[in-house]
Amino acid sequence: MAFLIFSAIFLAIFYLHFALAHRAWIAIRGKQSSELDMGYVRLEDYFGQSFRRKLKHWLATLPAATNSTAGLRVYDHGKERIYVAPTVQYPGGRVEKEILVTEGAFACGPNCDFRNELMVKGDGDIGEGTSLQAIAADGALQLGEGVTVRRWVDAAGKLTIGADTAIHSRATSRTAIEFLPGAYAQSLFAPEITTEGRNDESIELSPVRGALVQIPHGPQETAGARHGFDPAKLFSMGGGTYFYEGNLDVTAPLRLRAPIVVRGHFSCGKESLLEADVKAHGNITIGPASVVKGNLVADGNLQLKPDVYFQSLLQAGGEMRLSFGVRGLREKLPVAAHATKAVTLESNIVINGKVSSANRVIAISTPMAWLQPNKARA
Amino acid sequence: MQLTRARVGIALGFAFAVFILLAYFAVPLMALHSSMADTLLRWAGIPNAGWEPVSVFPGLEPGSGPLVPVPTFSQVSEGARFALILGIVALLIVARRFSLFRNLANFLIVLLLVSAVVNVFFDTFQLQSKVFGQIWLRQELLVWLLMPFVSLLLFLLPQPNLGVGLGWMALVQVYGFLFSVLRFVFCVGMLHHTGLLFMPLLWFALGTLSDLLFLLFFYSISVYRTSGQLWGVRSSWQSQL
Amino acid sequence: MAVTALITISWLLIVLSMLVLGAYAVRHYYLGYSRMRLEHPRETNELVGFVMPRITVFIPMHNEEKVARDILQALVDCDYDWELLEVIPVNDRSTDGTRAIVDEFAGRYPFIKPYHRTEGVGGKPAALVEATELATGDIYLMFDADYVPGRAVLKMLTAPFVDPEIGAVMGRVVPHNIGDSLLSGLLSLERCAGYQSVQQARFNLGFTAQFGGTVGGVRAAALRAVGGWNPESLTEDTDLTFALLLSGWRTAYVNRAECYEEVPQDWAVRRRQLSRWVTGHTECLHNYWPDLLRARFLSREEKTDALFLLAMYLTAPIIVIGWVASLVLFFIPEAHAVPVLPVAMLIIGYLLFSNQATFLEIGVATLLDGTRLRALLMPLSLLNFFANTGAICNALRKFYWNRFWGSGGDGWYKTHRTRLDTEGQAFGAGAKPAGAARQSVKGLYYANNEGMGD
Repeated sequence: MAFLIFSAIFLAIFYLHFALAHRAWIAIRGKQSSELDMGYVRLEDYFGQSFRRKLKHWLATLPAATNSTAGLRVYDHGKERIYVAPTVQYPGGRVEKEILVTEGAFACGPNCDFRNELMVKGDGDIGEGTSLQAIAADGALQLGEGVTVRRWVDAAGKLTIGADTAIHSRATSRTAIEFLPGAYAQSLFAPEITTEGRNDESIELSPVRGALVQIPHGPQETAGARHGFDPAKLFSMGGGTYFYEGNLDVTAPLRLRAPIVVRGHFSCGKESLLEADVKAHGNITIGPASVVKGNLVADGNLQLKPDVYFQSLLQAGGEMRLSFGVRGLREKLPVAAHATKAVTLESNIVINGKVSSANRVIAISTPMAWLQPNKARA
Repeated sequence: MQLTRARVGIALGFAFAVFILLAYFAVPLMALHSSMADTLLRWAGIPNAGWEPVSVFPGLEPGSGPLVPVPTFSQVSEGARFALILGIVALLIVARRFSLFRNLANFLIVLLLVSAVVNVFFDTFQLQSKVFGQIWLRQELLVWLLMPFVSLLLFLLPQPNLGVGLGWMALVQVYGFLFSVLRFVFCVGMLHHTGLLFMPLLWFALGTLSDLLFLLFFYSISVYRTSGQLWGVRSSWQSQL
Repeated sequence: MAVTALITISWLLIVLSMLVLGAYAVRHYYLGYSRMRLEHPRETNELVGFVMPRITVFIPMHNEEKVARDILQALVDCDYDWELLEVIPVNDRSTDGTRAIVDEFAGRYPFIKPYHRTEGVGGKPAALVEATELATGDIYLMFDADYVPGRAVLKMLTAPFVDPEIGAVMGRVVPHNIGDSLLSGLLSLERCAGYQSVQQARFNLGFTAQFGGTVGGVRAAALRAVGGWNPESLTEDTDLTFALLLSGWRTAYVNRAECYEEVPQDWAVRRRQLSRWVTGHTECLHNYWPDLLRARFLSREEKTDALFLLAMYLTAPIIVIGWVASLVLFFIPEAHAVPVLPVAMLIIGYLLFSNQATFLEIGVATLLDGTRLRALLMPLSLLNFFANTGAICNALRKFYWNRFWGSGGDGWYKTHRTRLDTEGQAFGAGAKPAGAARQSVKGLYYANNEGMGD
């Protein structure tokens, strides 16, 4: 009898190992998963637009609005408050803890601190050294030197990101972004992104190429290495795609006519013409004044030398560097450049689309030695 | 989550420290296991003539196994034989009614049938409780020794808070010990009342499988509690991608 | 003498079991921990919407009137440019109302171009072979008829094709009917680990992901390069993965391209599904292992990973062999005297660590998904483990029996659907806008600017 009782206790303890699972099952039974957001679409300016939508909803539905003498409306939203003002001009050093909405223009002096979001329906001008949570502007927006934005920036008009400004999330504009030296952000997206010293006169966007090396090569080029390209290392994967065994460092102008996977590093000489996609298991370096029509994907680093014109997408598993005079644009769709590590943008860069990094996108000043006529650099 | 070298090093250090501690106190631990089992055997009404030293591993002082009378097949009660048949029928019903249990139930039925055949044809074959104690200690001692490393992988490294991870590690270690005593006493009790009839099944179900079960039990709770702390909710980290 | 032989054989089998399962356990831990680092060196999410090739979406259908409307509406609602989209519902000899539903949608949307099949060999692979000849896209995407893609899934699945080395892509499958039965709840844990942990970890580590034949796609040129679909295979998806791999093409995995599926809720359906997977997979192992070992495109690590993947179902009988051998030893008193500490430690260590390894993957996946309640089901998943082991052993027994005697195995069959809702919105009701308007290029990147609009 004693053993029967012991057995019953033992079996009860044994069951306890399943008891929580049993309870969880009872809670789940009959239910269906709702973990996916089926309506999700990827939008580059999601943060800014989402904030605008929420704000609009709050202002339309919040019951209590207190009128103040200065025409300021105050809305209570849980623990935080929303201030709505016609136009605002703050002196330097101002600290603001609440959400601020301006019906018109907004400007603030240096070293202000805005600890909650800002919504500017007109143009915005943020003084140097100011610290922001996030800002959305329906007009143009200028961030002064050394501004820090803890989250995102979104502007309908032109967005100027001042020197040494730090944006810890995304910066988007529906017009243009000017990204000055020393500034960094996680990603930039606009119909036109430029860095300092833009000079379109020296850029030749459709040069005539005289390639010395062609890939895939003609039948007369089957033997021996030429300018770093060894035809014996080129194999067909089928489907018009090739792979190249080892590093492919072409020292002369290259014309690439079919997609290629390089199982090593890839580089090409100046004034190359890449009409198809390139994938390299190592680094990719594109020679000066080349035209890139295919996508470039590097498991390692990716560098575009000066005056390269790309009409495609760039992706790097390591770092990416776009040198002086690089242009990125294509018909119909914007271009994009993304790297897992840092993306460095030199001076005189114009990109119609997006530059992003899992680390940071940073603008630097190209040394003055580069700022000479196009041919001299090439 | 950043699994830094320092973090991995500290966690490994803890696991090794516990391992060394357990190895150093292996003999007292086995003695404590026997002593607790002795108390439970008495509570469960299982006659035990005492504990005899059994060699667990060479170089290690012996542990001890109980001296509980174990009947051969011809000696077991009708009730035990009936229980065997009842067990097979119950498993057959489970296999028929619950398709998810079918394969497990079928395997357990095979174990019972093999056991019955062995008992019927080799009536003299007996497993002494002392030998069973020896096998049990060999297995469980190793489980205790290896447990810190299992904890390292399941509880210590995935925890955002090292202290909480160490808490889980201690809990699992202590529980593993206590659960082992409980299972051992139940097995010895069954051995005393039903001889070898149920032993293959019990050895399969209450041996390392039960160690696996209790680890899973605690792991599921640890994941349940950690969920949301480590990477936040799904939507928050997904939006970063 | 006989006893000694039996002991020796049992020990050998245990050692074999330990070596094989131990190696798999190491792999499981490696993948689990690698996933925990949450690093995505090969992620293409930032390029979603920028890679916009012309695509063809295939939906193999056989008597799908219960679900056809949902998936067609979901594809209409996707945010892919209609001018670059072609949807081919492959109506394979349906005898219910599938044809009428498909034709109704084709009448409303010009990019839906149905292919009605009335004769020929049945099954998805054979139907795909014929339908592919009609496709005009550069990328072919595939969805089973009971799946409902979210609005962004098409763009997400095309993004990895920015890389010319990518021949195929696989999205994530998420079970929807988790509460229909205990089995479906447990399968949700299994799927969660398989995709969130294993597929993503393998892809991050530079190994090829596994194309699953649905919520995925293939580059048209790559498919042609490897000779198209294999209509003989029961798992044309696995077959394609390895055919591509051997030609130098990789398969990408996109964890964010999630799509609901309906997992089997009763064991009979699950067993048939598992049986087809086991047979097809093991067939691929036999077809591809010599070429894999010789492949010049692959590193040693990649070859090892690919072989692990192909041989994974063989672990089930090896587990059973290990159990049986240890029970045989239990019955032999002479075998009890195994006093060698390191050997014993290895055995127990293997038992503890190898069996826990798969659960670590479930744990990691659950932590990432934040589905904490389901994590508590883990102890019950032992039942699933035993059920799978038995079913896999049985399927392998049949496979090798048929292979030995040269007889044909099971044919391709459709997994039974249980969804009753035929009014659309079956998944995530209300989440999708009905009949989304054609998107402008600008609309692909920016939300509608609501401004403050006062």
